[in-house]
Amino acid sequence: MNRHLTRLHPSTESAANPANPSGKDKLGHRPPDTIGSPDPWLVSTKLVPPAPRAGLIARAGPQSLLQAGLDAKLCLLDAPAGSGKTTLLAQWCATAGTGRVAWISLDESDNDPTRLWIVMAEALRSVEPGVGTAALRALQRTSADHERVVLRSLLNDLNGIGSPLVLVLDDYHLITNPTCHQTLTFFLDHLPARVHLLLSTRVGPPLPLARMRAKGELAELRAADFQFTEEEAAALLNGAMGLQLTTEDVERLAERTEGWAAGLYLAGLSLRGREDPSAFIAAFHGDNRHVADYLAADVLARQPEEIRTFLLRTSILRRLSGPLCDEVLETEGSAKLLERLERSNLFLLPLDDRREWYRYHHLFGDLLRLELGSHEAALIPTLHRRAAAWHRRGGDIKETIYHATAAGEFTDAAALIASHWLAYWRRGRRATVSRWIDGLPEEAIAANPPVAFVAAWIGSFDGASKPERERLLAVMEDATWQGVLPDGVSSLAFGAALTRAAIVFDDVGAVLQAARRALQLAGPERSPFHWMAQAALGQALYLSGRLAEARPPLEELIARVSAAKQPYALITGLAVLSLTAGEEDDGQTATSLASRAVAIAEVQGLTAEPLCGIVHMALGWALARQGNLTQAQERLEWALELFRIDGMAVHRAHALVLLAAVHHGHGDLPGARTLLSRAHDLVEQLADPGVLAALLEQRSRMLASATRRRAKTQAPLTERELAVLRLLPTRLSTRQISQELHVSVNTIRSQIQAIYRKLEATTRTEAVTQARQLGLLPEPTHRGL
Amino acid sequence: MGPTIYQIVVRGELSQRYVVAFEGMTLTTRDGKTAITGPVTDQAHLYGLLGRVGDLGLELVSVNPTLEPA
Repeated sequence: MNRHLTRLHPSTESAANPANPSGKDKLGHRPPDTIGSPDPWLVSTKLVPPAPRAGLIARAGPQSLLQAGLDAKLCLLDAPAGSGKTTLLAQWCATAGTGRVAWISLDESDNDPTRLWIVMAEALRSVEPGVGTAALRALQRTSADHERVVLRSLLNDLNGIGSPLVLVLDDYHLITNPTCHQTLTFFLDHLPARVHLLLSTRVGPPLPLARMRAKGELAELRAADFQFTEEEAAALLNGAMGLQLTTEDVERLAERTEGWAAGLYLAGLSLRGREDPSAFIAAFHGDNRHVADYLAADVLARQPEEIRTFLLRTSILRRLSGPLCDEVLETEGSAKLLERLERSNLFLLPLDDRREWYRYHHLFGDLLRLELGSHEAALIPTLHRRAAAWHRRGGDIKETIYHATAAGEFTDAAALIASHWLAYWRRGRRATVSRWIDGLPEEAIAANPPVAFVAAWIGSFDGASKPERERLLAVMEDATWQGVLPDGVSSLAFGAALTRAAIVFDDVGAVLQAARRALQLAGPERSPFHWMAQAALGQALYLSGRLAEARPPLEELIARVSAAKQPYALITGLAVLSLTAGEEDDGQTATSLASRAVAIAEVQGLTAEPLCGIVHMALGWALARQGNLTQAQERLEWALELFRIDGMAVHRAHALVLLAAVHHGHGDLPGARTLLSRAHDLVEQLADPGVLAALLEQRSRMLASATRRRAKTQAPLTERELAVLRLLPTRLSTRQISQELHVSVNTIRSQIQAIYRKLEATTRTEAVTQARQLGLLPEPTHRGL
Repeated sequence: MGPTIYQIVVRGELSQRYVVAFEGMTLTTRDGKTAITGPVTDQAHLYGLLGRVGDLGLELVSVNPTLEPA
């Protein structure tokens, strides 16, 4: 494989992980997009605008719309495939001449927020050298808190630019990951005035368009704006494509294709060298078949056999090069053929200036694949297999996995994933690994226990349900696989125990057992994730109420582990130690440990991760002890938000109890009561809540006595109100109560409001509970009341 | 209860090569339109099919569950 390492800017920093300077994993592979050596792919293909093709006309209408649209913050080109969006953008880029355009050709692998922002930062950096350096460094971490760390830094850099800049995102419809949309929304909301975004897509993007439209920040070009006029059709067909059609023929074509660019272009190709174009056009005009279907079939049919075969068989490739095509087709001379095809304009787009890499225009590629599927379906897996082999030799793991999966070579794909995932995970590319796993059928995962571990581990972070996790753990625990895993993890048994220990779900006792087992199995060679297991042990001991036992493993952890190497383990350890210190009323230690944990989490970009919830919780509680209730509430609410995934019910209950204490401290007794009642509902459903049950009980008692003390200072209920109160525990409606007491419904209603106010209740049930606690109502003696 | 039968109608009459794009569905053409009909497992499946329609540059006319078998 012959790729040049092109750099747009010499990189002056060594941003590789200090503990692992080469950034390579055990197998010597470095995941692409590392700042030390920008992925050559990235630099020479995705970030270069396609050169405008000869033979495509300039269109005044859309061009002036685009030009006007650039004044807006966001200019959106939203039109179906084959409308001419990329062409318009490429033409504009070539004439823009200001050199202030950053271009990104998006593809499916950008559906990973870390990867997307690396690409965005690199693109911006290519135009404005100072921008994005800090952001790219932050994106190296195991996980990046994109909004708070990466984007803020990027936006800060952009604030300082001297002259306007345009960022073009082509094919945004390929982005479907919700975090990508969220972060782009954040980016748009805070975009400095000098930066303009140009987005082309086939599908309305989930961005705040209505809001932007209302504020005059949005310009749009839609399908209707891209329709060719008859003059433009004539300019394309007779001018650029050199046909000699009559006005009437041009009119008919424009009508039949409805001005659709791809349709007109295909028609032009179909008409080349025809003796009687009018006859063809008449037939086409009178035919009901779908334009692309009809014409693509025709264009293909008229190609010489060699070319047709080439087109069909290479359509499985996302990117084409001479050597790759030679391998896939088991032939020679593909490089020359590609050049020829590109020149004759058969929907082949060069991706770089060296004419080394190409791709098919999306629509044409799709049609070719359909044709291939219709005629040579049996060959498709073989073609993918050959492509996988080629990429494997070249070291492109992502493409290898893609083609192996597409070839149905799931065993190979799974083996690759098992070997390489850790390097990607450590670089924050969890979404990429997730996608790989999604591409494997269940049977393939079941047949490859190390991959089951990857699926279980990644799944835990993605909020997989307990049954899903159990299924995968069963695969790992039944397996006869022995020894070290391809990623270096000491054994499957360790992996299984670790997975059980790291996410608590609903059984503290089980987690404690799992954590102990994991540490036993970690082995003398420190396995990856060994310290995670130790952190999990400390956490489980704390949640079991065994504070004295929790301290030694946690103290060892924080003394030995470096933030750069094992950030998750370290911050968990610090957070749990902080909570432990808090339990022993050592407020100072609690605060300093929690603050250290948060600082590390921020630097490592982990603050938005579910596993970081405990860090926020520890700091929140430490702040509460100091009396800083407002900040404490913020932190605890943040923790609660992060704990919303399935497996974190225990933590959620814990956070609710602590948050209730903060509300209590504020004097908001009803608020505290609501939170405790939610915590109570959660704890009821836990198989083993550990120390939480006792904590909840304690907190509830404190709240109850506070309520009683407060009630004594409130205005007492009147006789009439008491009479109504006595009927509240029954199932009688307001109307029925009014009949019972011989008073109007309205009177009863206002009396009930007064009761609620005095008891600080918002519902009938609450009022009854309060009244019982205050001794105003007897405790229930039989069910239902 | 099994999957629902859906009928997705697009403009333009499609040749049978498009069958490959809509696995498990049958294509029938009439009056300048094509009906893509077949069992749809769930919403995700349906959206996947609709996504394919868009990817192929086809114009969507209607999407309806049918009561009769395909």
